Amino acid sequence: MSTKYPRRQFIQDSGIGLSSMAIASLLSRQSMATTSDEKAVARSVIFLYMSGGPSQVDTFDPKPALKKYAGQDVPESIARNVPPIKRSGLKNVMPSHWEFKQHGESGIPVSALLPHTAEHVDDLCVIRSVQHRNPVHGPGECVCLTGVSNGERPSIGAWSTYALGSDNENLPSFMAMNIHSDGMQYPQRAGWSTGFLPSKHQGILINPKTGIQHTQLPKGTIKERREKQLQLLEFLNEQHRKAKLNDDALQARIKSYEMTGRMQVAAPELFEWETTETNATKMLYGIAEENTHDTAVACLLGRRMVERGVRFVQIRVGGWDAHGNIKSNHTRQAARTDKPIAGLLTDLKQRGLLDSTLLVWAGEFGRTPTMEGKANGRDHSPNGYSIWLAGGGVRGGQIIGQTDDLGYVVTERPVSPFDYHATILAALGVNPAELSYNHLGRDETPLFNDGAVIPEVFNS
Amino acid sequence: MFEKHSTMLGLILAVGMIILPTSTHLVAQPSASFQLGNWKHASDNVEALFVIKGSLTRETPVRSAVTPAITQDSFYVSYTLTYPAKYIDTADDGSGEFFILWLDDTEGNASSAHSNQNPNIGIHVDEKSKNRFMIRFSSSRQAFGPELQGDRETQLVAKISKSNPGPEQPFDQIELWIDPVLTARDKPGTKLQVDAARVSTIRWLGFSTGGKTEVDDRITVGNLKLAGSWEELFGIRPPITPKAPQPLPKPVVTVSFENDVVPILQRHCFKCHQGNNDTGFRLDVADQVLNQTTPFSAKTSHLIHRLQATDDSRMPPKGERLSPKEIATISTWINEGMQWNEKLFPTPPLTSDHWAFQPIQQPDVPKHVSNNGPDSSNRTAVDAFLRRQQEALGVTPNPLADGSTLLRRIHLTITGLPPSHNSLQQFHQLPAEQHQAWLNKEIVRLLNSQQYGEHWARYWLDIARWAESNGHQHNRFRPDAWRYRDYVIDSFASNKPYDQFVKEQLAGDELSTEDEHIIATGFLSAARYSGNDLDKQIQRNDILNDVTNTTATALLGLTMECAQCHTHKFDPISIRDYYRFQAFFAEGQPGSVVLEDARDQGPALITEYWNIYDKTHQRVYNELKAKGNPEPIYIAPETVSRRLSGSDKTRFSQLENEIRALPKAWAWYSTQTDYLSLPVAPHLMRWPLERERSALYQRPTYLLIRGDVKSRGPQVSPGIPSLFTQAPIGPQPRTALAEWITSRSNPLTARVWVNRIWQGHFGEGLVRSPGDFGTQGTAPDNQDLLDYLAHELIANHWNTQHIHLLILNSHAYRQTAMKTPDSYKLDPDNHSWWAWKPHRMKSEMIRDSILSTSGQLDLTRGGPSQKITGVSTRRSVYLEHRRNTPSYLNEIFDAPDANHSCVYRSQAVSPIQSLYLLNSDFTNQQATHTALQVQQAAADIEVQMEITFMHILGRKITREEQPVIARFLEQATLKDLCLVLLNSNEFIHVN
Repeated sequence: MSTKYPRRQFIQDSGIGLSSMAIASLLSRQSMATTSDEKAVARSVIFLYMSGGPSQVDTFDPKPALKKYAGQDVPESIARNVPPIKRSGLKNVMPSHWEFKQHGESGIPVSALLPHTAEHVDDLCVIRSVQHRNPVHGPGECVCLTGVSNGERPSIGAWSTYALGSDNENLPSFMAMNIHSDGMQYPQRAGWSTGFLPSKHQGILINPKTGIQHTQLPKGTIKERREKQLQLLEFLNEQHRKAKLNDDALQARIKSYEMTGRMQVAAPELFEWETTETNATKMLYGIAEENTHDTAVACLLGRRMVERGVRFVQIRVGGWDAHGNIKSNHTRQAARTDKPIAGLLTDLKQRGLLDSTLLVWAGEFGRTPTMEGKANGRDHSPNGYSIWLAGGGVRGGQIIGQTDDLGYVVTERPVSPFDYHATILAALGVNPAELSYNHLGRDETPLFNDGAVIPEVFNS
Repeated sequence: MFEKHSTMLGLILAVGMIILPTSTHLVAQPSASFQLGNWKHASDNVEALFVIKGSLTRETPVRSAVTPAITQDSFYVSYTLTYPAKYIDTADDGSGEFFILWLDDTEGNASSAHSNQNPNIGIHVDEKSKNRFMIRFSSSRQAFGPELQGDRETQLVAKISKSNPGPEQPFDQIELWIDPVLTARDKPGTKLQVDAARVSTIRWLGFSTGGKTEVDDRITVGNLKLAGSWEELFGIRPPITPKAPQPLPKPVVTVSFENDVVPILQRHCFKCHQGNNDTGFRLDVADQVLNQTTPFSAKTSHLIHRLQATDDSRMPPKGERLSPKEIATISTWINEGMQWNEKLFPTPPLTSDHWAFQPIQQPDVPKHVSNNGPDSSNRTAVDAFLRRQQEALGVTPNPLADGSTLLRRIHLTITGLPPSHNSLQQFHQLPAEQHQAWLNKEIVRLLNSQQYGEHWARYWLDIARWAESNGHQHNRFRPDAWRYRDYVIDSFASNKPYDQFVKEQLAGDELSTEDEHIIATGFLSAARYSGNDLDKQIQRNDILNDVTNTTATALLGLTMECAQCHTHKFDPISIRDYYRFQAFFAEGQPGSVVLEDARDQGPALITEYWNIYDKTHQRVYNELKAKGNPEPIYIAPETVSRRLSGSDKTRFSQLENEIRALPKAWAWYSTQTDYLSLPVAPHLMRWPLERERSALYQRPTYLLIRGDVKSRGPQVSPGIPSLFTQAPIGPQPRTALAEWITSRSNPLTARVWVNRIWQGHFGEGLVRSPGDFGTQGTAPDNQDLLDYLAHELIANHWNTQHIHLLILNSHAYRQTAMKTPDSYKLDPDNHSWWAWKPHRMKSEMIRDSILSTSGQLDLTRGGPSQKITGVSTRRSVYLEHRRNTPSYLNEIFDAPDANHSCVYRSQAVSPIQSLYLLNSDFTNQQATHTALQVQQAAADIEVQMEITFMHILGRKITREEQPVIARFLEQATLKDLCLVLLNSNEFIHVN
């Protein structure tokens, strides 16, 4: 190992269970200008990724001017700022089908599409000014979750577990669930991959119905037999390791077998919600209703995961791609997601977990304020769209950023995906500027070139 | 070309019409020899046939006006001719025959000769008294083709052209093809050129018999066609003339760089930012200024932001600020394209004293220095270099490892498989003193095996970020990509010289269109490709970046991608260097290229396919347009194939099947080839790449500001990074690049490759940052050793096997993995390679080794990939390798995602891996298979224990292990033992 390949990183590459040692120096939220207060630091993140691209002007960014310009071209004063991106149509402005109303003490307006989420606005920090340049689902998903359209960089989940390791070594520290993979927005593996980080930071893809793969003993093997197997394995491995170079890695592998037994107990327990959760809780998420069932299970599992110390949970709900008939599409999507997500917020709060759990709700982009073709839908638009954050020390009840009169292009406080990634890490108490990994001779950080924490998210 | 094309289309119709006997446009008067109403339809292509009688005198029984007249520089004429054998006579038994199609500017009359320096195409008797196909301008200026065969229809195709272009110039060249195939375009059978041609405009044509024919001769002619191009003649879409890229806007320059801008810079900026300075930024170097500006866009230029800033980022940082007028002048200069005066401020040459950029010197092999250490520790030159380093550190190398460890080690690092049962048996029958000699022989045998090719190909496929799908959202499968995988395997297995291997992959299609060369370009075409991007510029630029970055990392160990957006912060590579390098690839793209066996039938099928597609696309477009859909109207290919009408639908799906069945490769094609020399089959997806080769004419290429395809900077042409000695770039840019990369003087190529070979055996390279030989990479542990190996590679004609042997025969490779305390204390990171370091097997090795152990491994070679979800027990290199959906084993054991060049796989450890190895169906089934085999081989439990250890770990069971295992088997099965051994560190590592 040379100085270019620090020993700390080597341990990160090969070892397990050593992460707390590795990250001690990174835990310096106090030293960051952005987080002067001593509010709660999140332990976990639940990223609610809305695949397909929810429309900002139909959810969190009301634009009365859409009515005024209905059917007309986008006025030149706005059109001239629309970047030359294919799909950014400038003809036939289309008003929203949903009325907006102010909610909560903060009075944040939310459309009638999301009545349950609206009840939580005082906990939400709505960012109306996210923008990037990629109007295509796959690359857009990569931008949303890794920062770059080719998905070569680590996902934000991988960065998070790289930074903080695990709080429960009996479960994977990063789990991803893909619900409703409708349409052509195939899940992009980059979204839960590690990029250049070692594969142990990989998100484990979970089927909410069947749990974590290979946590069941093979047919015909009973627990006692497994114990014998593991004993013999340990004997052989110890014998092999003795006086060998690279014993760190060999030792780490020995330890990984110790963990399998515990994981085989912890994983089924995690997924055993049907008998252990109360009816009231299940109703809160909408488990019993057909529309909401799948997302409800995922959200409930999300809560159970963070409760057990899983660092990063990613729930991907597909189907938001409303090219034709946005009214029926978004109605369906809202029906699938609104109640379960609101239920998750309520449940976390009532259990006192909201302060230690950061929730992020975001699509890969928003949609145009114009109609696409003649089909009563909206096309993709990454020029200015809305996401929200909640819990984890975030100051709720506030709106950050602004778009133009039609909700097309950001006019104030542009935020990039790298910015909200940095903010997620900051919420976890990690200084993203100091979190680095040496890849091909370069110290890579989650900020890439110019990402920065959004301090307003936390300041009260 | 478009205009001419449509003119010629009209021409065909005109000619067709006059030949149809019912046409009222018939100009020729039927003579006595012209028989009406006796048509023979030999094929569907028949338009009309004439049966013409012989005449004993010169006669033109049928002639036609050509409207409009032909004056263009070249055209094709084609007709069919059948001469019954019984009528054919020669000069020996008669007079021979004479029959022509003439083309002239005058009509003449029924007895005109039309042989006065105008084109004739037909038959004539030659000096040897044979009747042969013939082209001529006059009786003294003729050339002959093949002999006339009686009783069969022959197609004559002639290209008539002007050697000097222009409407006034005469047609003075004829080329003739007899019964040509489509691909014969550039290979005419007969050519003729004359000095004294007369006709510059073709207004008339006709068929004439000569005096040599007899009155009872019956000559059948027909299917007369005129066409502007060979393609048109064959019903193929003609190549489209390249679209010149839109030139950069030429603004009116109102601000002078020298007189207006430079004085401002001098007054305010040059004090700190001129020449080499502490700020790290120079305003007198064009490429550095480009990093801070966007030509034509002052408002997005960082430089202007800094000049306008009022906070800490303001420039100049203190003192007098630039006046608004001065800022306006600089803004205007940027908006007018940032004109630069290279004479006034020349770009300084980039230089570096970094080790990897210096020429490779042949280091002297150190003389033996001391006897401290095992006897064999000085056995090879490799060891001599290491011994010198070790002695300087006071480190003693470990002793030789035992025979069975080494047998397993060489098998695993050479072939990726443990020794076969057979191999183990042979080896363990030998007395220990014969082990080393046996190993030497075994190494040579293994290096010449197919399994070596398969294992080492996997490393290369990582490096080439090879996969069988497009990646990105739609991730469409590439059904022909496997051929490149086989090419790589075969290249290793046949020990192809590395320089040739590199040249074929970068420029195979420029070397030849032979299958091997075309398939090799799969290296370039392995790039990811978004099938869902409407912006063709972005779509192509992503591919070009991918190819550029991969080439630099894979072959040169350079991280060029930094320079995509700005001059490299650490390495001497400028943003200009990046785009010059990218320009090598600018005129090509990936595609499904038709291989040699199908190049005759391919183009016609593909053309017909596109014709139906385009017709339908147009129809759908018209419908949407009529419904009032605003432009731009995008119609995806799925929509087009859904909307095909009746008969088109049937034919289209037939064509799809036929094209699918053609042998093809996922390869790279460029403007160096055309649709005939290298036909490209459709590879549809939502928004595919542009299919016309004309879309590839990207020259001139431009530097892209901050990597943004929409922000073009100055023009660049292909060139190697300015740091290196410049090489001439000929008309085949990628060949020039490959020549430079594989030249003896290239300081990086050989070093990078021998380092990869070292890493393949030891798990780590002499340079431990194998993807970065630049200043941010790590220095080699032992540069003399690296350079020695690099020099050996070049001096031995890039013979990869030679390097393997140098490494495999060394003591360094054959020593134990003991953690010798004294050495560990002095060199804990093993920089001087005093011990073998056990490393974990790669994902594919784990699966293949388990299958090999259980006797289930299927060693079939090559061919299309096997489904990962299937039951295939072939080697992992033959399993489907799609992006985004890797096999579970690959996913958890650090196999790369094939999104970018992977030169080193990390070796993470996680309980998820252990759960898989303990609980998956795969490992449990293989453990069962192994146990069954052992049980079949022996009934005695003690023997079974011995065999199990030998089969799985390649060694004898030890005396310490025996009682433990025996006790284990009292409470568990042999299958349990197999499962435990397959999970053991010893099995999973190369020890």
